[in-house]
Amino acid sequence: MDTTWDDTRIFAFHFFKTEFEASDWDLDCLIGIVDSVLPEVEQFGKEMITKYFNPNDGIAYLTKLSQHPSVNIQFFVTNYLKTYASNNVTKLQELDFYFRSVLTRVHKARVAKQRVYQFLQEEGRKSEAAAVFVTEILDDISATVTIQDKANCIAILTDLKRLYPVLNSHLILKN
Amino acid sequence: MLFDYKYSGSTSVNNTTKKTGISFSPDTLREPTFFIGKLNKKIAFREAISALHDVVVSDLRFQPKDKEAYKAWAAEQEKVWLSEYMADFQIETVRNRIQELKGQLQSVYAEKTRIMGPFNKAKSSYFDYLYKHDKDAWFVLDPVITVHPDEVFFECFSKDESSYGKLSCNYNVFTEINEFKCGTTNIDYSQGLYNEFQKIRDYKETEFKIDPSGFEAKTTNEEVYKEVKIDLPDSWVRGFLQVSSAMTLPATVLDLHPMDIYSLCQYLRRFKEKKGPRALRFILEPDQPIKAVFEPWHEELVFHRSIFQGNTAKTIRIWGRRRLLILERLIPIAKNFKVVLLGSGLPSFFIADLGDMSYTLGLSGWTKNDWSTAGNFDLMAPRSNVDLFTQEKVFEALKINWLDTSANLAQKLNLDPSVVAASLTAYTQAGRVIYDLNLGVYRVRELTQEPLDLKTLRFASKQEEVANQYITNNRVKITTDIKGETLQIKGKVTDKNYTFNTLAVLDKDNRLIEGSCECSFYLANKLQKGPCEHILATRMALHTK
Repeated sequence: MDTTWDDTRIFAFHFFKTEFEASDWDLDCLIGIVDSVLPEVEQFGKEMITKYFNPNDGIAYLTKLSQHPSVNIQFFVTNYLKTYASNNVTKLQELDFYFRSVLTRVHKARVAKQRVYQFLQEEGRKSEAAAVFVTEILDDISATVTIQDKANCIAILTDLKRLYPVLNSHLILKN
Repeated sequence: MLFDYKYSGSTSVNNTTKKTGISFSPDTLREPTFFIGKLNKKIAFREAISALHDVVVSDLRFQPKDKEAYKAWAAEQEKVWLSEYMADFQIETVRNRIQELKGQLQSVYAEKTRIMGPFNKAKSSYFDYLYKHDKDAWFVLDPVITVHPDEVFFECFSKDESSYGKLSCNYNVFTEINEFKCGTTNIDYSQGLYNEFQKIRDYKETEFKIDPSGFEAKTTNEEVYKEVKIDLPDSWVRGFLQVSSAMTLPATVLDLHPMDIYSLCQYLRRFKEKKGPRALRFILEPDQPIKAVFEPWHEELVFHRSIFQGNTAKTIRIWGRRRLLILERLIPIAKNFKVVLLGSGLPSFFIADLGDMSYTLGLSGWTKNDWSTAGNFDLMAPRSNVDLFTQEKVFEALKINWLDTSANLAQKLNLDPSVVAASLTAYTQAGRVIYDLNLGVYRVRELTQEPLDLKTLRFASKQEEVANQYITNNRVKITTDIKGETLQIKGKVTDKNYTFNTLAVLDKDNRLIEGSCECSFYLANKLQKGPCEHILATRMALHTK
């Protein structure tokens, strides 16, 4: 599939779509397809994952895909956040690079950013340990000049600090 | 300048779902240099090496639009318009005839497109193919890799002769280091490699190796070796040396938060200036937040988390700010950015602290490397008069440990620290030593196998060399005057037996945009072959004044 010949690739897409069934694919194989740097193959991989998604492997998909460098896949991963990473501080910490990478995409990935903000706020509210982790990330991000992001960060940080006053950040709450 | 390399095979990256193997193929004509280890900080390494790739392919020079097709169409259309215009003066029959012929012509064109269509389509896809497959020809010089007792570092220089990138990884980035041998070598590099780097993941075991096998005697199958000859423009080598020797100059250092770099990039992504000045102005005041101002809008960004630690207030302007976008990928993994500014219009350095790695982006004064910025500041000028014997002694002493500070070396050799620093600077200008801005040490790094000929590299042109002599002999007198948006420098340059009246005009971006002189070179060529030595000397005198 990773060929430079368009016709070969088109044939491969067709072949895999029509001849292969759920039992023929495994997790590593699907991830391997999405890891391709060719946009068409990446897109095809996404389609296949959506089609043959096995809920038991959800966490593995989340972990592995979250390390993908492309904006599209990072956006795709936001779909799995709520189901497989909530109520799990260790998982959150594993995804540290992912959160930072999405939130620091320059002038891109607006929808993914909004989803991550929302997810982090929900998680942060659940426990103090999670709140500490979320505060650490958002405290850094809040140094941005982008008004929308800065407002988001301040809102979430204020919310969390009201819940857990011990949190340490650059934000100072008056009254 | 011709460079020869001989690689045993090509650099390759093997990717499976469980494992990645990176094997760099070193130049076998040089001293054996190798390294074998396993990567520890995989994702950070991926991001950093990708940012290094962005330097290699960065080319921000102005690319004129290809107007061939439009011109061909306009030439055809001109006839039609002309006939239509003429038809207004003609009688009815002629008008009808024209109409008829036009109809015929149309059908001929349609027929032509129908017949030629498949050919044209195939032709353009062929050019696309060439463009894609000839991409490797874009890399001017393969990156240089150096193995030292404490770290491994990669260096590269962009095609437009303006950006320098260095990625240093200390040994915590690796686990299970098997064997290594210190030295410097070129590595075989291609676009395909960048794509494979993107597949590095945390959960895959990643082996990193500068392959030693190429150095073993292989007489039976010579054909596995790949010989590459690269003809490098002198200006490219000069640019590389200029940027690296700029690191040894005294500088203003400031620290920026990663999100400050994000803010700079965000602004550059959102807005594009249509006309100059295009400088980025750093406004520094002691114990105050650092401010950055974007010209020509004079939009001010204040970095509240980055306080300037220096003692004196100053404003420094740098150009070629779009090159900062190279740093984008480093923002999520960087802890801090150290910015080293030498002065307005001089090279600047952005050093990202990535924990066990550090990434240095060096920017020359301007993106464009032409005569309009020549004579700004001579980075290649010898800065001392230390005799060659002492210089060599210092270099030999540095070679023993591969790296050292100038103070340490001075103590060992019982020399004055300034003499040691001056000797090492001379070697830096020759491309044989590099100053590590991050740790403040000098390191041995022979850019090329054969020492470079500094005499030919010192000046960009003959005019520059002569102009430099006028300055050293103190033969230039200037007066300056601000007129509208330009700075006019009027000069009197005294030759052996004649005094030339000269004029050099600088724009708001500090570029030489106009000049005049009374010499024969100027009268014959105006500025078409660049400024004459007298105009250059007039401009240079501005800095010595």
